[in-house]
Amino acid sequence: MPAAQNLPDNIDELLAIVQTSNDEQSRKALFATLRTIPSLMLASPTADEQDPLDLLDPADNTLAYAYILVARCYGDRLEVSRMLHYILKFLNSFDPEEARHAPEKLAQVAQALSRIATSVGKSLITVKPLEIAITRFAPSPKHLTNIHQMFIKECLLSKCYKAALPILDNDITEIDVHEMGIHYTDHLLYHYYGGMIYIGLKKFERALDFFKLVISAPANLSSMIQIEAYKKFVLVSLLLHGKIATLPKYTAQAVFRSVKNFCQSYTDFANAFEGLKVKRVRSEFLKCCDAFKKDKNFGLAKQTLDALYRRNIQQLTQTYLTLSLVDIADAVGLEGPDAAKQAEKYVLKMIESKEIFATISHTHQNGMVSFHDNPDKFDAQETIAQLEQQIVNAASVNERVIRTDRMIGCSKEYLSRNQHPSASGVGSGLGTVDDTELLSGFDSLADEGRYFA
Amino acid sequence: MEDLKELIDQNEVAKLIEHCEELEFKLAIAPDDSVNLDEFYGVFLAAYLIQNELPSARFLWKRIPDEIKASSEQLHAIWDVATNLWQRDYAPVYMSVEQKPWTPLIGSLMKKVAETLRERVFTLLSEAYSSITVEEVSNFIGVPADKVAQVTAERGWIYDAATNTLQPKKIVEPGITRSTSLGSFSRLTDLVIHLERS
Amino acid sequence: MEETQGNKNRKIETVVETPNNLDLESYIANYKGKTVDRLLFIGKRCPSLQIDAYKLALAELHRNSLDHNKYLTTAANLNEILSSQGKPLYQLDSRWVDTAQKRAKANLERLEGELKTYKNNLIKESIRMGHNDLGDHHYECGNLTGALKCYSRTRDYCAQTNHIIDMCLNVIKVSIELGNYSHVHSYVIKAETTPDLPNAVQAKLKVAAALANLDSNKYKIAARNFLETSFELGNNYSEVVAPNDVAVYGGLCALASFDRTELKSKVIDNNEFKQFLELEPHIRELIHGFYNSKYSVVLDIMEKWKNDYLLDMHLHNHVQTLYDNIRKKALVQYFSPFLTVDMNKMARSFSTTVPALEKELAKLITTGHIQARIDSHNKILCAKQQDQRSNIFIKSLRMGNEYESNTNAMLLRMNLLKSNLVVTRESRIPEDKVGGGLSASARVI
Repeated sequence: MPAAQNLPDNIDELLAIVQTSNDEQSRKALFATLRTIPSLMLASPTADEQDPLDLLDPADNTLAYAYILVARCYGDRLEVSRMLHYILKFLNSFDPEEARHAPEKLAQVAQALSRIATSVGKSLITVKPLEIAITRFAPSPKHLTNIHQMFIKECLLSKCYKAALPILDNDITEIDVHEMGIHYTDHLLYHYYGGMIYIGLKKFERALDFFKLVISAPANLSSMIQIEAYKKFVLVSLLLHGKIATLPKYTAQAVFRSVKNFCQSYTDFANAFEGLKVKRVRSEFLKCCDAFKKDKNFGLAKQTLDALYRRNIQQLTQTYLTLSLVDIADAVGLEGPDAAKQAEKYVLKMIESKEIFATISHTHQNGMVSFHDNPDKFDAQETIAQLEQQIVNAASVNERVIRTDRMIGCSKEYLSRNQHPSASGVGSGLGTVDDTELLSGFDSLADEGRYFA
Repeated sequence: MEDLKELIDQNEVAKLIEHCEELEFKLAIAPDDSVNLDEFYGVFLAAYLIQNELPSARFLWKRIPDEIKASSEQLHAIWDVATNLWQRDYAPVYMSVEQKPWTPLIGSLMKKVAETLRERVFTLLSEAYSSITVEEVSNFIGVPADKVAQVTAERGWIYDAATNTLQPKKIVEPGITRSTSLGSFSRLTDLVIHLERS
Repeated sequence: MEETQGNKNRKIETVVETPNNLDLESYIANYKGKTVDRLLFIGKRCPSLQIDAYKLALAELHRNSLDHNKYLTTAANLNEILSSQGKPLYQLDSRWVDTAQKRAKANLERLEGELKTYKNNLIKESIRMGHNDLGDHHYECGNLTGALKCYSRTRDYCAQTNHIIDMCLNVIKVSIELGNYSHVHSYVIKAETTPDLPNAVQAKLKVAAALANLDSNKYKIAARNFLETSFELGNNYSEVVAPNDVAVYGGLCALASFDRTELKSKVIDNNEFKQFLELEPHIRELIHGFYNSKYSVVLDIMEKWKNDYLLDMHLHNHVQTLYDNIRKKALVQYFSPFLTVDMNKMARSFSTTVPALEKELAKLITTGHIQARIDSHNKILCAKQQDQRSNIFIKSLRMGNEYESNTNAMLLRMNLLKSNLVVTRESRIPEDKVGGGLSASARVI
């Protein structure tokens, strides 16, 4: 038991202990002591009316500083600009090793920052400090921390979507509950908010991946976050693929059941959408309008209507070599006197975004479009390099799966829990199951080796 | 602000954006009276438009404080250009750039907005059209119809007086290195074998 | 369940214009036994043949049945039409109705009495006969469900294989009339398991099976059944189908579902089926026309006979689908040997306009039946050049991306499970995670 220390009677005694705890053992004792000190004492000034936060260095005495800071931030009287100064100082220089002994303190500091930001109406001030705190706190960019979701939420609130990318673009794979103070909602919210950021920046593929992670998270019951994620997942699926994307096989049954109960409008709309008939989709859209608005998904849903025309035009490229703009408008369901003009706008947009390859000619009246194959012959060195890079990535990720798999396989904790219905399905074989899927594809690539010669 | 001017003069738009993004955070935490916010946000917004980062421009517009927006006609004018770009309605973009009373700093950036837009459009048109009417091109590049033939001729486009259409010249991409070497292929197979083994 | 579904589908009534080839009296002469339903079916759907059909049906009822109910309703229907056209009414033979009614009642009482005695005497064969006779009686009176019940009851008293065969054939016949094809299926299977089936019986069973498959839109299997039917069928099964029908049904089903090689080996070179085709030369011409790519001939014949087929009890519901399939196959086959085809020429061959053809082709391309693309400007259909190499690259790049994100997801999941981070009710949600959620809250349901 490390609690061999005498409990301090006032803040000065505490500061004295802090300053003399230099070896590992006494520091551990200090951490235990800190937990027991009432906030009132932590929030008080020293006998000579000094601010203890001025006496401590957050880099050397991270936890003591954090405890005092939190007590002060949640006290009755909040001196906004003064506390802001201490919080920023702390987030910029705390010692991550020490912070991991009481990760909830870091979260509380971050929370305090966010409260201050809200109180002065400037969530912008939280963004950079939280990003710095995450990079300092996480042992690697692949680790989730207890302030990840807070950071992304602040990015959303302050409309600084782009600022979230340096964190979001790292795929989270590592979870350390004790050192990072993580609750399951941290994972759900982080990936849910992250998906929203990607939607805002129109990076829909990433958004879809993020929502998938939320929906397919291990679950005995379903969380509302998963339901909300499912709704956005449906709409993003339609935008990208014209139908609901498939979810991993291990997605919990509980989630599927709730989805049936709570996302009826969305699945109805998706069903209508799959037929790609503009009239039917529009009428279903009107029916689902209220649900979309209520869920704050209206803007996203409206984008799917635009995607409908694009998808229809995309299909025409599979069927036609040439087609007049008038016929394109007719075939994709554009109406009105300027339908051909609208069709031209769509075609132009899609050429620009490389969704299709085509040329428009106005030599004849009305305009004629010729569709081409993708001119990329995939023999540019970059393409080959890209493919190689993917295989390297796949190989390294694969190795990590095997390592983790072995580690988990050995952990008693896991083995005893493996009986649990929700936990099953990640037997040691899973890595290999997916392998075959991958390899069959790369096999066929190897078969086509002659094309390289 | 001096740094901003320098980057504008050097035509380093990507760096300019980065700098603006950092400065915005700094100003949020430590307001600085020496910075003219109206001008700063104008530079920031215009820089996004030059890079065609329209979603970011949109979010920036949303976070510009209302009191600044309210007092600046110039910011509104830039935002109008952004909306036109968003809607791909290019003729008014060129018009605003020419006619609005910009401050010198913003004016130079807006000119750049028009220039990069015109280049982007030229590339797109030569990719997307085998023939296009003079009137359309005039709208797309913001050049009066009677000057279009001359301007496009400089780029090798051919004018057909009979139909009053132009045939854009295809832009040939500068030599991409084609790789068909066995070397890279054998590297691939090595990796596939590696994967198979694991 | 399925049967009612099937019946519901069949309720769509269509009005058929005068058929080109049908002569009612000679047509009906192909069938024996219960021709009444066939006539009533035609009468209901074809106004121009209505009066004749009803009259023939009444004559048949009068001559060969005791079904006074059907006689009365048919006469009423007929008179309604006649009066609306200002023609003299059909004179009801009310004496016949009376006698038929009395005879039916007397027969029923007599047969039921006999059956009772047989049951008391416990003589198996007599009981079987008793049920059978009672079944025949119900059948004659138009009570099909009653008949089916009686025929089914003979099942327990069958001592010899031919008893079983009789029972099966009776059940099959009534079930076909009732439109209960799942019954037909199971009794065909039952009958086929009895040893030493005579050829004629085998042929009947093939036809019954074929009709059942036709009913459930399994055209390919139906075609095979028809094509395997022995010509010994002859007129032996004319209470169900005429041999001419085998030619028509089999021919159309085969055209709609077979590829070229199957058409050659299973239809054109099939000697047994050739004999059926002799009875319906236009079907033979149709098959040969299709095989030899003379599509205008094919379409001509099909068009000429369409109305006739719409008046066929078994075929009517499938005519459109079969025709559509045949046309689709013809279009595909027309294009198959070429790299490019002039759509103007193609439209002429298929008696259609270029815009209509373009729409048809677009659909076939979308559904993957034709590997081609349409040059709508020059009206040319061009074969699609598949760039396998590029496809594989695209696929590989996509798969690589997917693999990476899937594996990352898996890794995350394994670590979540290891840490027991599972959505459950018990886990307390800390204060700092719930406050001010954007639109999702951490509520568990």
